[in-house]
Amino acid sequence: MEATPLIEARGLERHYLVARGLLRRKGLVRALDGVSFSMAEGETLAVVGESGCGKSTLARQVTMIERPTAGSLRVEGEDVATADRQALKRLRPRVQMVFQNPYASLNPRKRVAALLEEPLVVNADPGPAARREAGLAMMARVGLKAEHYRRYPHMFSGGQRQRIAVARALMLHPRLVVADEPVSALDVSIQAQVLNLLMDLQRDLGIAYLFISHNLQVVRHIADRVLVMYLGKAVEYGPKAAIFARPVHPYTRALLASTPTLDARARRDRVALRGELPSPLDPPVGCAFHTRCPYAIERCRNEVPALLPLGEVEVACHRAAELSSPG
Amino acid sequence: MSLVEVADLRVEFGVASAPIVAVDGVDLTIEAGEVVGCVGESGSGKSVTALALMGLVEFPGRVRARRLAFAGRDLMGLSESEHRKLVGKEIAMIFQDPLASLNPCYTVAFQLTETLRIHGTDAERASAKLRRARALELLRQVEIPDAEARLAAFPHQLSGGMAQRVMIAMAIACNPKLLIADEPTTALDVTVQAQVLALLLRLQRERAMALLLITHDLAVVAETAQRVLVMYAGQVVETGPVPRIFDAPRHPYTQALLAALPEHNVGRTRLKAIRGVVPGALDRPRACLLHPRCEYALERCRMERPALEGAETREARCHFPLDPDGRPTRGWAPEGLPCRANG
Amino acid sequence: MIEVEETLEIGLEPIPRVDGPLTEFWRAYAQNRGALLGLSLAAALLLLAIFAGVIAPHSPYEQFREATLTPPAWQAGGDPRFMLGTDPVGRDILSRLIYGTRLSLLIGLISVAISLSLGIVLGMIAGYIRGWTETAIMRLMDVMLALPSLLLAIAVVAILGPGLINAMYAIAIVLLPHYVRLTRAAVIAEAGREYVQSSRIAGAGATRLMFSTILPNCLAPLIVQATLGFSSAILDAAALGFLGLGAQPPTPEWGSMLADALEFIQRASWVVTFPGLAILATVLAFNLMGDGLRDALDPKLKR
Repeated sequence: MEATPLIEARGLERHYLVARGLLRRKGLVRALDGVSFSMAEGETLAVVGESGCGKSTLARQVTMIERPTAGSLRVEGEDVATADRQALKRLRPRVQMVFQNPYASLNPRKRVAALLEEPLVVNADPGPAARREAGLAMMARVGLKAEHYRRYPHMFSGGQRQRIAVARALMLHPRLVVADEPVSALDVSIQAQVLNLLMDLQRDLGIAYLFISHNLQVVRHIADRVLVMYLGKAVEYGPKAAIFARPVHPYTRALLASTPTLDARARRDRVALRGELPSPLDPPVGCAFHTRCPYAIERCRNEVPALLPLGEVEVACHRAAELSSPG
Repeated sequence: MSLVEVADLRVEFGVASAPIVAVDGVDLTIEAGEVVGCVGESGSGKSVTALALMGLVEFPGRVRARRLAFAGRDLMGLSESEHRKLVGKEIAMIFQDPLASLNPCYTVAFQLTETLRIHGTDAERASAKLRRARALELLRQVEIPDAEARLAAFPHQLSGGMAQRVMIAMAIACNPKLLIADEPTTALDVTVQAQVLALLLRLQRERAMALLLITHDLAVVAETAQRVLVMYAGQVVETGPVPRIFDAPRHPYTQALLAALPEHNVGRTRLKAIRGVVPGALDRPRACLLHPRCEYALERCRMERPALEGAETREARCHFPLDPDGRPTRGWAPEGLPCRANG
Repeated sequence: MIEVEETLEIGLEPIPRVDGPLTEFWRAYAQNRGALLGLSLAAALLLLAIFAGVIAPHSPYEQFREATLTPPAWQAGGDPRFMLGTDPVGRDILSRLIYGTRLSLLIGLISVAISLSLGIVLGMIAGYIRGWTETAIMRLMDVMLALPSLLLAIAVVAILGPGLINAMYAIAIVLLPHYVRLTRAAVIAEAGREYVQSSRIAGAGATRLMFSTILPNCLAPLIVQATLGFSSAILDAAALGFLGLGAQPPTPEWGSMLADALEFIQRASWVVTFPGLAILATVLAFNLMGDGLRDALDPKLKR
């Protein structure tokens, strides 16, 4: 009997109207254009893609800062697209977030104590003594000394700030933590420390991660499943091993091939991507990727490919079967 | 004679009595047409080294060196205007954030032709038409599609990748002999990064230009450079050719950096992290800078600062440099056991 | 071979010894000589105001009929009892100036306080909520800014009636648009920052987000503007007093002292000069302080 998935998104859409000048009609940006995926308790889903693919927008939908324009997004079984304010308030503590920039994601005017206790103050305040105890416990859990509880963020290094951010995200005991490029701004040696921390916490607390990253090496290490996005759509979705060993979609292949590696033998032939990312205000007709795809055919220019299963993964490509067969 | 000769470069900031040493005795040579990579984490001094080479370290920074020469000419002895003439024309630099390096108030055409107006040939300095034609040609060389239209664009209308290409175009406008690229692709998407790096290498080959690539990304350096300098807390700790330096590092820091990469921890749940942090400017240990974090540190490491030594192209700043199997040599033994002489 | 370090131990690295925000601010501020001068001058004025009763040689209202228009003590005909001379009805100018300090500082403080609190609330609402609310508030402020400040103040006082309290209200209204605009701009810049999103995700409501999360980060330009507004307020109060619309006689307000003394500018210039100098000194002090604060608080200048 399958348990209710922690997160279930079906056809998730989010549009923005963009002003384009006094006399022109407003432009429509389809930041998310029909994305479907699901997450179970305790697993890590990595969202991979470049600028403009919609991963930040996805983060905002899942953390319930914004409502989806269309589609359904179920958090622990409840659809947040149609939920009322009470329901959202109840669900909010279940999903928390860690941001990319450790220098911008902590309020510079608040002490660590206030930062850690704020989530508790805002949700069923247990009183100052209990808050302090919880805050100190969390600090210890992320590997910081209790004596720094009353310090300000600017007194800490980048890696330490990121630990504070993680601690803050955990104060409400969420089931899902959305991590938006949590280690991209850190040095390699600190990256390793923070990644280890994240994985230890997952093991101890059973939290799930929606891990957004453009660094495929990190994704390969930490993810269970991977969702590759391009211009608001999912192009490939499946278990990590399959995606890294046998990528099907041309964009996934290009991403993997473009990632620099130390091991010369592991380097794949560069799939030269032509051109630039199209403007989200004016996306190509048909498959969004066809303007840059080395395998594009006539059908790609006219028809939007659906995300269809192919073996272990789901791919949105008209030539998926062709491209995945060896030879 | 090497293109760039730097010996014992030292850059300090702050008060003279308690200086913040950003670069601590760095030696650097670059041959004509060579691609050299400089890797290190924050605080390693790699960017400041490049700035010192360009003469861009502002007061109150103090730059001292035993030798700082470009194409045989001593940079430290030049006057302001001579320095500007030399540096603007022969050495070019591109930075991490192209949108911050381009002036938002002027078009691409203006900024491209500005360099030509000052450092171009006599014909270029005289004729605006010639300059514009040259600017168009440069944009095509950096593979910018629809170059004509782009000339009239303002920086904020360009994507990150486009803006970086414009920066590269400006940098190569006067055919410099050396191009310094300080984290040129860190702010770019991974597919654009691949394109920009390929472009840099192509230009470097075509123009026999030397390229100094500064980055924190070991993989980028592994794919582009011929020779690498690894820096830590203001010092060069290892030099060596690619790929040997990554296959068999001689310095424990290089080894530890490589070991911390997710690439080298496939199958393991935990990454092999380096304990501790890079020392801040004010709490640098005496003796070996790495010893609080080094797994092989012994008493000697805590007392005596190692010198950079080794064969011509394979130097390491360590008392017990590692052998090709990754084990420390020169009679190293784990703490508690007596050191064996010439083990 | 080394053991895998526990995450805990890796995290226990020394925290760099950096000062608290107050110490850091003071260090930056104290580097500016002009700012320190302004601060000391302002402190001196504050002391004068508080201890006016003790410091001033005479009462500001007492008229010495036999010593009207006495020149300052160092001039011929001067009297050591009245160091800076007396005014046309025989009141000691020095004492009046000292008591006047109280009034000027009070005017500055109250006008700025009213204006700042109202301005922060309006600016906060405009910058956070956006949309029609923002348009309504900002256009109203634009209208207020379009009128010359003194005329606006005069208009308000004309409606409310002359007097010191009403002058303070008028000045507060004149200063209001500046604070609203400043706050709104700062809020718009900060509202998109990640730490605000972080608080929103933690469940903070609009009020908490506005006043507890965002506001402390907008204070720097406001503090600078408040200090400069102080001197503005004093000048405006002096102007209103000069026009007879602010403090009414016999209140020893510097502006009204100037008004009374105009006709004596030729033969008894000291009656005009000293109140003028007092206004100059006070405004200078607060301007220097304001400049120093701006330099100390400006993040772009931080090294």
